[in-house]
Amino acid sequence: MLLYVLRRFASAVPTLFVIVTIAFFMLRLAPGGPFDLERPIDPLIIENLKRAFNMDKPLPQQYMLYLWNLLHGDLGPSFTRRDFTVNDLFRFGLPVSVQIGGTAIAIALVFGTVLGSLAALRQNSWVDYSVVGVATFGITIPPFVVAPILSLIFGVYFGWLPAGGWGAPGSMVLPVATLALPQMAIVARLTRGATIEVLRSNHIRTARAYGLPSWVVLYVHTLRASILPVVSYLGPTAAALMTGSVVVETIFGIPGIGRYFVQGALGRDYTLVMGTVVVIAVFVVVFNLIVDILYAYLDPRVRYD
Amino acid sequence: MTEAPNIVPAAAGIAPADGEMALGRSLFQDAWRRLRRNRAAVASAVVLVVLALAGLIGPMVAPHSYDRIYPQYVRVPASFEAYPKEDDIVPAFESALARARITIGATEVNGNTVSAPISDDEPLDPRITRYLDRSDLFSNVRIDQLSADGRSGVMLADVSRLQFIFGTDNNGRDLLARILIGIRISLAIGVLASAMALVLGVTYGAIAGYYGGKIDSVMMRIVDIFYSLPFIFFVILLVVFFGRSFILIFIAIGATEWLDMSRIVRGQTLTLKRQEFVQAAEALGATTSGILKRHIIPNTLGPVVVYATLLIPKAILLESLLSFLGLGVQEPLTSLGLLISEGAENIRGATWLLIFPAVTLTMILFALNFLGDGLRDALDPKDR
Repeated sequence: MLLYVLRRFASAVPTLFVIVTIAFFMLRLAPGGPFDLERPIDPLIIENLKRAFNMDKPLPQQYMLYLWNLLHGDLGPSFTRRDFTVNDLFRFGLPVSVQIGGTAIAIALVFGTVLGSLAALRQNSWVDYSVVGVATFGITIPPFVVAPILSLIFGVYFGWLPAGGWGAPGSMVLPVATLALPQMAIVARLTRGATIEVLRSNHIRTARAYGLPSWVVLYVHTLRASILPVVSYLGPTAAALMTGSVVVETIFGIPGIGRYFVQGALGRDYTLVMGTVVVIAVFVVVFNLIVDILYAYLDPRVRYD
Repeated sequence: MTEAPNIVPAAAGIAPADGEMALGRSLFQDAWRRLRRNRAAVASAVVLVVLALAGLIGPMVAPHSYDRIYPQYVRVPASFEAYPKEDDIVPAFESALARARITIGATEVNGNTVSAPISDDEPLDPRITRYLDRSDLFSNVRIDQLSADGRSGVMLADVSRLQFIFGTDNNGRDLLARILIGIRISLAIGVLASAMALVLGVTYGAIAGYYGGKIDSVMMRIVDIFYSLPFIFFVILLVVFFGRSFILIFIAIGATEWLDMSRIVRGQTLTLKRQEFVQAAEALGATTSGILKRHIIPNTLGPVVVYATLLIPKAILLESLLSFLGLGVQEPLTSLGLLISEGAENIRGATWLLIFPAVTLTMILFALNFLGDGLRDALDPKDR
């Protein structure tokens, strides 16, 4: 198993390399630069700035330099937030985003599987219909509609929770709810579909024929098989949520890393954008690995060697 | 990353079992019957047609243009009653006329006309009517009963009754007109982007699947790499390269949404190319492009059509997301996403700016999703 994990990490390196390369050159080919200001400034200052950021060297050399620093875990200084390195920015922002995204994923996983199993066990009853209805609702309405409406109802109208901001007690509730709602809906749908199928399968019939108590059949045999599609779905989703949501962080004014990418690209903050790309790619690789390991654990037919 | 494609030839299993005398029903006739029986799908189709017509014709027949600014009606709430409200007429009339620096008598409102006796030490300048004409509230301003010396008369003006059913935005533009144009833009981008993703994805997937081998694995690795780059990365780069325009937005969305489509088509093609009719075509000496066009692509259409309908709401959502980030269509043109983001900034005090566009977008998304699900059930009854 350890060998497998190591090999997976090794195979992720070329992928990361390609992503970094494409991102680096596409970004540099884009017109405009980080030092373009509305007012023209002294060319001497520009020259000094360029030297400070290694921008005076030829592009291939800059690229090698970036790769070299990246290998040492150094994402470089931010171009637009002059007092910070990109590492600093992620040290501040990433915990916030991971906290919100992680909580949302946990809530979605727990409630989604429970609701989905309930619906599957009582298929075509009112429970089933209401779960499917709520799930359709949650999948269809986009977060940038849900977020301001939640903020309007609970933040402005009732005033129970902070309508935005970070740090105050309860300020996590609305962002997490916004993120968790669609994921919960999708998880519920996936669980429902898989459970219906698993309940009809041979090994469940055998388990029932042996006279196992129904909760053992449900929790040990059915759930274990029916959670498989959920696991493979939640892997990349967890990576996406933990690396921050632009919409949620913008609407609720949260100092996470979700906005780094858009702001960085618009301000030509090369290192910040590259840093975001790298961080997202690493999260995706790690979570895909976790999914594969969980798969082998949940489904005895899957073997890695 | 490679999941097993859903390999169910669309035509399988729907063959009529009515006995051989019964008239054969084609796949699409069959699907059409099933679709019509699905009430949610039919209702969705009706809603969509109504909304599409609203987006197409609405801006032409709407009482206000989407970019017409009414400075006197900034952020007025939604109301069926016509503006100006009765209580507002006299103060608006007097404050507009006060700038003429003349003596104004008692203002009277009589049905649709407002009148006030006016007088001054000097002969009245006929140009003072402009102070009232400039206002959004009054039209057809005139001076009546001018005395012989020209120093007194009666100022008359018609009250323009304007309706803002959905209220107005921060700049005093009619929200209804803006929602109508937003529907048009959002639907157009959804349809065009999906069409582009369709063409790109089907061609790419069919070629990769049909040639197989090294070409296939290289082409699919490229798709994998595109997958791992964040969507927004592309769009932002495209936006900075080419500037912000309507065409660019749907190209950007189409260019990022074809990946799934190419995978679906590739999976279908892999099974199709082993079938007898393709081998027969090869044996008859048909060209590769001919086989792709005549035999492979038409046979992949079932799942492709279903996926394409579900792609439209996705594209609309992406456009809305872009607009929300300020990378979408530019003012004064608008889209539903842009309207929602403006509404989100104004939830304190102007809730109608959020509620009406949000409800409209939600309606469109629901209808498209229900229709897509209905189509899937109708075209592929095994996959319920």
